[in-house]
Parts: sequence; C-alpha cells; structure tokens
Amino acid sequence: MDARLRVVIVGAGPAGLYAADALTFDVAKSVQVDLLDRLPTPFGLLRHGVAPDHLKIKSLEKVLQRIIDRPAVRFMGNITVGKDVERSELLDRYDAVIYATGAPVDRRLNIGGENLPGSVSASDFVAWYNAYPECSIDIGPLSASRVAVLGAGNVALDVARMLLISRDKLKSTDVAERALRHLRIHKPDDVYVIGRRSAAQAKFTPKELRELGDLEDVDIIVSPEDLLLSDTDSNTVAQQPQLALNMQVLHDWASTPPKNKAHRLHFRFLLQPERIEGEACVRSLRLQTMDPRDTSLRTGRQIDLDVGAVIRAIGFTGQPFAGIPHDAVSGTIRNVNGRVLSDYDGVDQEFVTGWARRGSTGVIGSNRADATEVAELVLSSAKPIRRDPHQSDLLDLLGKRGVTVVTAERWSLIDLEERKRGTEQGRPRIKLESTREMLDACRVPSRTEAH
Amino acid sequence: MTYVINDACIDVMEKKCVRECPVDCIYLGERSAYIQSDECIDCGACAVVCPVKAISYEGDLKPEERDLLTRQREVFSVVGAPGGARAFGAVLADHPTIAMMPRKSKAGD
Repeated sequence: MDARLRVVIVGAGPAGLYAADALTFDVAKSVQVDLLDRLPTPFGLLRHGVAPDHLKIKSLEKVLQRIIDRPAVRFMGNITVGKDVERSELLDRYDAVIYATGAPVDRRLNIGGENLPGSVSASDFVAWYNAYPECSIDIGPLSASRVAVLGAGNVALDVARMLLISRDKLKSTDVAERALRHLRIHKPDDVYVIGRRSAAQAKFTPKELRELGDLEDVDIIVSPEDLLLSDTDSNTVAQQPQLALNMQVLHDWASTPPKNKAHRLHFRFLLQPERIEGEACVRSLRLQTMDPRDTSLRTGRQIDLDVGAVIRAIGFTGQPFAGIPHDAVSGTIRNVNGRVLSDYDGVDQEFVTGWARRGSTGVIGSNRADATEVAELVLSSAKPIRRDPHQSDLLDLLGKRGVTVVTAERWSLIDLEERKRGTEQGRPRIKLESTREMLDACRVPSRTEAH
Repeated sequence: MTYVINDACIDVMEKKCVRECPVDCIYLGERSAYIQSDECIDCGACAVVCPVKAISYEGDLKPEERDLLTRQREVFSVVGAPGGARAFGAVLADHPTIAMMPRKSKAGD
C-alpha cells in the first residue's frame, strides 16, 4: 500500500470507472484507487440505463470489468456517502476524492396533473425495465393503449422502443423479469414521441432514431408540416451532419404511407406540454403549439391528445448530497473544469467527472474523455495529504460500523448468479431485483439490525 | 455494423475520437486513424466529436463509400483485434491506398 497517491472515486458507473482506468493504467504512476457505489453492483447507467436490447453497448461491461480487476483498484459497493461514510472521512483518508455520481433525478415538467397516476418519469420507467433494485412503479396505467413520451432525446426513443418492441426480441435480453411479464401482455396501440422544439433541435442520434424503423408491426407516423424548419434551423442542419441524417430519416418516414399495422409510433414536434388532464388518472394531455419560425414562442393554439399515460424524458439532474457544493441551476456539483469549488478547509482535494460535472449530455464515450481529463488534473495537481498514521482503512471503518461492503469478489458472485439464472432461460443474465437477493447471492448472512 | 473513418482524416488526425472511444478501438496509423470494427460497439461517440466530420455509421455509407469499410478492415488483417489501442501502443501501418496518396498540407502550414 505504498502508493504515491490514494484516490477514492464515488460512483462506479462509466465516468467513475474511466477515471479509475486513467489513474491506474500506467502502473508506474503508483496510484491506488478505491471505487465506491451506493448499489451493490458496478457499471451505473450501463447496467441500469442502457436499454436491454442494445446488446452491443452492453458488451462494454467486459471492458469495464477489466478495470475493476486491476490490482490497484478496490471496488466497494453498497456504500452511500453521507450515510455510511461522511465526506470528511473520505477527505481525511485520501489524497483526492473524485465524484462521479451522475444525475440521478429526473427533471420535472412543473405542470398541472404531473402527479396523477399514469404520469411517470423516464428514470422510473427505465429503472423498472432495467431491474434497478427496490424500484417501485405503478405499472397499471402503463397498459394504456395510448401513451405519450415527452422529450426528444435518446432516452425518449428508448422508452418508445421498449413499449413497442417485439416480445420475442425482448425475451433474449436481460430486461427485468417484472418488465418482461408486463410487456409480454401489454403493447400500446399508439405511442407519441413529443418534442417541445423543432425536429432540427431534437437531441436524438441518427442511429437510435433509424433503429425504430426496424420495429415489427409498427407504422411510424410523421407529418411533413412538422418537419418545416426556420432559416436558423436549416442553417444549423446544413452544418451538422448528424442533424441532417435525423432530418433525412424523419422525411423518409413522412413520405412513407402507413401500412395499417397493428401499432403506431407518432413523432410530433413544436408542442409544449401545458397540462395533464384527468381525475383519478391520466386521461389526456393538453399541448401548446409553438411557432416554427421562433420555437420559443407560443402560437396560442392548443391541442388535446387522448392518452392514458405520460412518460416524461426531458433530462436528468443531480441533487445535493453529503454537503458537497451543488449548483441548483445546472443540477451539477459546483466545479470549474472538473475541480470542485470546495468550501472545505480550502483544500484542493475534490474533483468531479461525468454527468455530475457537466449535466446529462453525451453518450457513454463522452465520459471517457471527460474522466481522462479529470484524472490528468488529479495526477498533476493532487498532493499527498498528511495522513494520520493511525487512521483506519476505509474498509475497517465500514466494517466497524456494520456496513456490508460488496467487494469485487462478492460482486463476481452476484454476476455469476445472474448469469446462471440467465443461462437457464436462454438470456444473457437475469438481474437480481433487490439488495437482499444480491447479498444472499454473495453469501452475506442477514445481519441483525442492532449494531 | 461499425463506424468508418473517411479520407477527411488523412494527414489531419485530430485524434479527438481516440480519447472518446469507450472501448479504445481507434488506432492511429501514420497518416490516418482506423476503427477496429470487431472491437467497436457502435456507440457513435467518435462521430459526434470529430471536428472534421470524418466518421460515419456504416449504415449511413453511400454505395460508392463502401470501399472505405473494406479498407478499414484490411488495415487490421495483420494485427487482428489487439484489445485496445493504448495497450497495442504501436503505430499501425497505413492502408496501402492511403500510404500512396499525395500528402495533404494542413491548413495554416
């Protein structure tokens, strides 16, 4: 344990793992990394965000597992900073702390009716189908025959696709058992993906958009008027090939006559949600039409869409925790280029990467560049702190508190159990859906509550 | 499917994609970068970040661009799938077609 630098990373999703990667790839740099996660399992949104049918992206876990397996990296799952261990206790033990805690909270619409049964966040819906432990969602309204998905990013596309995907395809993925049972029976007739701004301002990436064309038994409905662009929009599209591809895909759909298939996926743009209507549950959605020439202006015209469920996928944000400086506007940890603007004793010891640093944008790869940059900052600026030689190791501290730490070895037992269950049913894995099941899988005895 | 790097990369090599690739499957030759298609997981991070728009999705290639894909595969015929450019640590031999092309001067040279 004679590392030159000891670093703790909070959050074992892609951003945290890529930071660990950049810190430990060159063994000569002599960095020791402890990698914490509040879940017993690593991989963050790769495990609980990426849609189950995106098998190729999911295969990234093999690459990330190799980082956990490095001798210089210790994984410690099932640990919540601010509850099991304090921020100050990390700062006392490590030369640098990197927060890679993501943006776990969904943005809200802040409109009437948002709390009605049948109005759910994409984060809850995604957590449900991706077996996030202890997640509860009222799935009743999700069997509605008409569902609106609000948002024009890849999360909205994931949600729409999961609602309409063929059940046979789903059966060969690691989708949560609870979701498979439900989605096997219920498939909406109509799903509306609704963007507040124009098609050119949508955040979809072209491959994810085009993929929807592969849905069996689904007509994609786009109205040509919805694709009319302002001069500003047209200029932007001309400069950005990705946007041009999006527009091309949408135009192709707009010019394809529907084939009377059993289900329909509608794309609608320039519609701002104004109110979700209903008494006991969602009945309809009132939308304000926006001006195509200036997409921030309302036209004053409203339309009502009869839907039984509304899923909002309008972005994610962070929330303050453990006293770490938080920027309420951006929903990120307050930082300049990855260096936390710390109020803690004026010590330059805290860093941030991933969504917690820059907000919920970009694809998984964006986090590698981001985390590498932050790791380089740590390597060039963090200095060994004066450590109390009697200071206990974090594992000992947590042990004394009776906190069950899921180490890399224990995680490998959970992984094994999930794969074993999967093999029995011809699926890549069947995820355990509760922390208790996971601890059982790694043979941690149920402990008495008193400690 | 995979992503493919076109001639806009030749003698420019901004290398932004290299840092962004989550599986480190973008390898540098002397004059161009190449994607190892067996290692690529189709995430598209490279295409978004390339400042010279040199990267496109295989599914978006026009018929006359399909040879880019062949070229990209041929580059790896000797080294195979090394499991990451950083670990590979060497400069890849450029594809003969690219090696024979006249040098482009960088803007500002």
